[in-house]
Amino acid sequence: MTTMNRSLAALLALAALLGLLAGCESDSVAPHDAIPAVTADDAAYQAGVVAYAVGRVGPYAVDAPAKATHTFTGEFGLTGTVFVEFAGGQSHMYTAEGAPLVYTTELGGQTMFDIDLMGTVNVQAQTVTLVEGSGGTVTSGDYVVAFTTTGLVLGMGYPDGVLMVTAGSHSGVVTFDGTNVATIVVDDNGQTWTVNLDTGAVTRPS
Amino acid sequence: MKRMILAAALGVALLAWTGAALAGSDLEDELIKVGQDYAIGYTSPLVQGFGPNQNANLFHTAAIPRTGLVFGIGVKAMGTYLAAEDQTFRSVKTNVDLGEYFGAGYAGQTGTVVMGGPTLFGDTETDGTIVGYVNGVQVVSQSTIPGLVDTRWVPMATPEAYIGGIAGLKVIVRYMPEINSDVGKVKYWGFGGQWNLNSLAPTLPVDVMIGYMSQKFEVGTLVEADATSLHLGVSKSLPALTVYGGFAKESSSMDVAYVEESSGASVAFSVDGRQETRFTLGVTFDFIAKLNVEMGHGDLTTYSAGLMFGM
Repeated sequence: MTTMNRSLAALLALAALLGLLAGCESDSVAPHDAIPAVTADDAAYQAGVVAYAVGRVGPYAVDAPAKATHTFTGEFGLTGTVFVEFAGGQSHMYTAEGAPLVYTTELGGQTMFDIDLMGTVNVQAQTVTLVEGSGGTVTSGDYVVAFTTTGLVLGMGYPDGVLMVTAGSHSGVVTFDGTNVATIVVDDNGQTWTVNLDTGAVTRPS
Repeated sequence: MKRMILAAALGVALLAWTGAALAGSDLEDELIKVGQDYAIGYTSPLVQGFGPNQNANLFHTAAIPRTGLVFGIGVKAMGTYLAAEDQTFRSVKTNVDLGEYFGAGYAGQTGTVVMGGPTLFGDTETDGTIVGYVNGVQVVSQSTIPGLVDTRWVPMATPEAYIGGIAGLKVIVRYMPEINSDVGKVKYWGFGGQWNLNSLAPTLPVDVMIGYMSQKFEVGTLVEADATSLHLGVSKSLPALTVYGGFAKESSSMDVAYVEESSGASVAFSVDGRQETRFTLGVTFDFIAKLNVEMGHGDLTTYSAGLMFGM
């Protein structure tokens, strides 16, 4: 083998090795921390926000002409528009896609509500009994909470019935009794949180 | 002709040097808008990528004569290629007082803070965010700063000179003159030595060398980056080219200090480089000058090239 050939062979071998090494990616060095998992306590507070918002928008499901929009401009901490349609004895309350109802906390944080509530209207009682399974999603920063109803009754006053909430790996049950206080049970663990539907304040189990 | 090429090469290095000073100014303009925890995540690719750059291309051959002068002067350019995910970051702090991150209005609220967005080398059109949660509910959200340069490369360039040839020893110097910038004086220097081991084993078919290098880079009071490398190199010289490889134990650290604009608080933190070892593989072409290209791989992958004139 001539000197030139040896050099060429070495160069080709090096090129092949460099080619193999080129597949060596750098390890990631920037932090990529996971969002903390939702705790049972977190789930209760998230359910409390859901309960508060449903309590606030509930009366609009029955107090409207055939087709109406209700725009919140900050009252109760809510901004945005909900649409209500009545047809065939049914009420349909919803937010437009990409335009959620926004609940702003006292400290400036925002929680987005996408709602799609359907129910049967009782004209005499001025109530709407929601269809089982209708509900929506709540997005609070990195957390998304889903809620569905089970025979929840909305009226001009406070709701009555049950709301199911799924937050992370936790399941919560919000029980309304027609008063301004609803109870929240998470994972059926024997503890009960309460939420004041006038203020949104959640109280931990004692 | 040689002088022209050398002048051009050094000009490139000086340009990179001036660029480093300007980049330092831009970096400070962004950092002063955020607190320490955000800055640590935001700068992490620079902090982790700069040390491997400093420790790159420390030799282009293991051959050092026992008698007979060798010297060279030229320029080295390095780039650490980041993982794609390092263009963004997310840092989470749990059970903290939100007042520490969002000001006195939030003091006393214990919760979780999620900081995230582009890193220094991320999207320059998108701002990051810092979000506070209490009991899993977002209570505050603020936008922060965009990326500074949208690239996966952490670049560096430096002039280098060496002289040796006595008892198999070589001395290496990397140095740039001080320049003034908006963030203070930009300084860089490094020195090291290498010793050819073939006097201990003259029958080896390859050249073997051990070396040490220490370097310091400063941008005013904003950044101070130190790097050291203890390396073992092996090379085989062939006509017109030298193939070389090596292994290094190395360390690096970067100190960052600035004053946060909104609070007036002094922010200072120090981060040690993650990369502690590297394997190197390269080739040097020896025609008019010595042109070498190499790849170093440890926790990060660094590519570099050098152009040295001398003998």
